[in-house]
Amino acid sequence: MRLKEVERPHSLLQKVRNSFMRTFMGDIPGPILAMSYGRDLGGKHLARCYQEGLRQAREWSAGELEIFAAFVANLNRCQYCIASHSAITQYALGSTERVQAVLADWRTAPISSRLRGALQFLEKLTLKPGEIGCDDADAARAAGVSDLALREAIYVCFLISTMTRLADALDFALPDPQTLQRGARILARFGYCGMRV
Amino acid sequence: MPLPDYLQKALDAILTQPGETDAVLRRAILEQPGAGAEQIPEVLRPLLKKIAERAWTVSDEDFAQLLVAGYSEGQLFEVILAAALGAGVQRFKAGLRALGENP
Repeated sequence: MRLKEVERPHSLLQKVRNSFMRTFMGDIPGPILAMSYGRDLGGKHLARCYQEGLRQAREWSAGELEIFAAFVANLNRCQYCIASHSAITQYALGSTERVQAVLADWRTAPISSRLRGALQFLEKLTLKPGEIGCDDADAARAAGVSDLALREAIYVCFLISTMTRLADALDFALPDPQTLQRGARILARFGYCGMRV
Repeated sequence: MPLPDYLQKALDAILTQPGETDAVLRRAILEQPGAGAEQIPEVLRPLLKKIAERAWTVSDEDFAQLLVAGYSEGQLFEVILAAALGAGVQRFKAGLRALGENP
């Protein structure tokens, strides 16, 4: 973490939380530190957005949402977010094969046309937000993506476009493989509620 | 359709709550490129451009320069949070407009 102040607990509750996480997860993930430090400037609400956008969608499974997250992270070249969200698919989808195939080439990955249609939209939205338009939404609809499903994918794009910038600007520490797997298992099981302190 | 409730609350907080930076600066950063761009000090602009366009290239040197220029760690965090949130919201709104909504 580039800003040491962000790592320091600022309340008794944060001290307890940090101690708990160090014991059970091995480390405190960067997103939790950032949301906690920026709690009063929107962090506490933003933390709820991650649970809402990545776990409470109606049109996509948790595994598909994590594929969107890893995909947007990959477009933004954020190693922390690529590793974190790819690892979660091990538990949400049973393996990382699908996410690895999507990251290698979403056009040829063995996925549904609906998922591919959403990824095509997300690629343009992530890289060229000023150029996305109604034609792109129509193309996604033609691939079987409903408006609600596209809205949920757009929400993930917002979440990850924000977090990748926080991760790279603040230089979140990439966990070792064992800690990464432990964290992924916890996130797959309990969601993102832990970010809310 | 309005923005999700928690997202709107997060935006309201960063744009109105007291912090180590002026809320006017946070708004200018979050809404860039926008009408308030002249409110952003020249010294912050290289870092903000990197965060917006290629955040993976941000380096320790970028921070060292700003700390020497007199920014505190708390101020820099707020600048980064506003820039990151701004990039995310820009994409959320662009996506909704493509759907025919008026966010």
